[in-house]
Amino acid sequence: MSGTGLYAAAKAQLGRDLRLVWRRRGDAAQPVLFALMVVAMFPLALGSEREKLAQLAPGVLWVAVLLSGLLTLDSLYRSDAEDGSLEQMLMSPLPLSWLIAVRVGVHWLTSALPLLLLTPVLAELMFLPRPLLAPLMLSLILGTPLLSLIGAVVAALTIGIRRSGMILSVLALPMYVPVLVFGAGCVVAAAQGLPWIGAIYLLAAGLALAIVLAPLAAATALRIALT
Amino acid sequence: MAGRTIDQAHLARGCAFLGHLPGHKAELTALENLRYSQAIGVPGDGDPGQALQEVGLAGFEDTIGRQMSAGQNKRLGLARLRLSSAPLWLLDEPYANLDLDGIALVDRLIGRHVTAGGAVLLTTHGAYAAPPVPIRTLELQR
Repeated sequence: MSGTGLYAAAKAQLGRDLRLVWRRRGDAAQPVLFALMVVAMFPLALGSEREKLAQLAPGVLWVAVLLSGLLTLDSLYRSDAEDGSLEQMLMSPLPLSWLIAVRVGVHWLTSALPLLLLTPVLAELMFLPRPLLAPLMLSLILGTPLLSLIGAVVAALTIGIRRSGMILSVLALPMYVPVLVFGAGCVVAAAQGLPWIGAIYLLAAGLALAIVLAPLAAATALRIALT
Repeated sequence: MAGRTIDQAHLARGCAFLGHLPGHKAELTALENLRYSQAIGVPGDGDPGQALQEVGLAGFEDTIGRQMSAGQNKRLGLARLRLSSAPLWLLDEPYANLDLDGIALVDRLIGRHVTAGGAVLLTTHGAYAAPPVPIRTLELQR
């Protein structure tokens, strides 16, 4: 397959997926709204003590982002599987993993990126000390695409199950844990004045690995599920 | 194909598939759907607008899939086949949901595809599949 064919297909896939998100923009706002609600609940439940909230902030923010990503995971292939678009992608002469990679990219762009832009506001809600915003943002920028890629593999594995919401969460959460540990741990380490760049390197390494392997694994899982 | 053993990659390069499911998005317009299928399918040089005209969907270019009837969605699937340059068409019940005009259209498309050197493998319940080409029938019974 020539490079131009791959490029044209990626452009078409990108255009299609962005259009779809735009036509269902009500659904697209869901993850942002969810994270905002979760984070807004904590000061109400715990009281508005500045020190207490600041101490919990890294964990709360990371968990909110992680769970809101989980919320949209099932929709990654669901509608494509239901209307036969996935069959057409499977029958395409292009590598399925390439189309999946673009699909996951759009998923990250439309569900995680708005959340990243909102994070400074959420951090302010939790009284996160200003100097900690840099490690938080950095860990989220590397961590959220990693979550999307891992999620894409798990969602592909469960696509054969009609109502897969529960099993999807149960399968995905253990694989999300390391990302959460390093992501939130990085911010906590920064809060204690410890060197935190190590966790960032680990997340970056994980992301590099996932970008290469996850689309291949997801494509294989989809082929198994649909044949 | 043509007597050779084929693997998955060869199969994908030579096949176009139309099944029970529409295979396109209900939120996108007919033209948008066709352009996308053309980009990821077996590359052909047909014009999506003309293909829509040929399957009787002229004037529905900007109608989204959801606002079209089952028969019209089927016709959109046929337009997708028309645009693919795959030599082998795999059709699962292509006559379903279509009126007499639509059935004649499927026959016409198959006729033209086979005349151009292609092959079609289709399943059907009805005996009305009568494309003007050599047919080999295989009856499946439980």
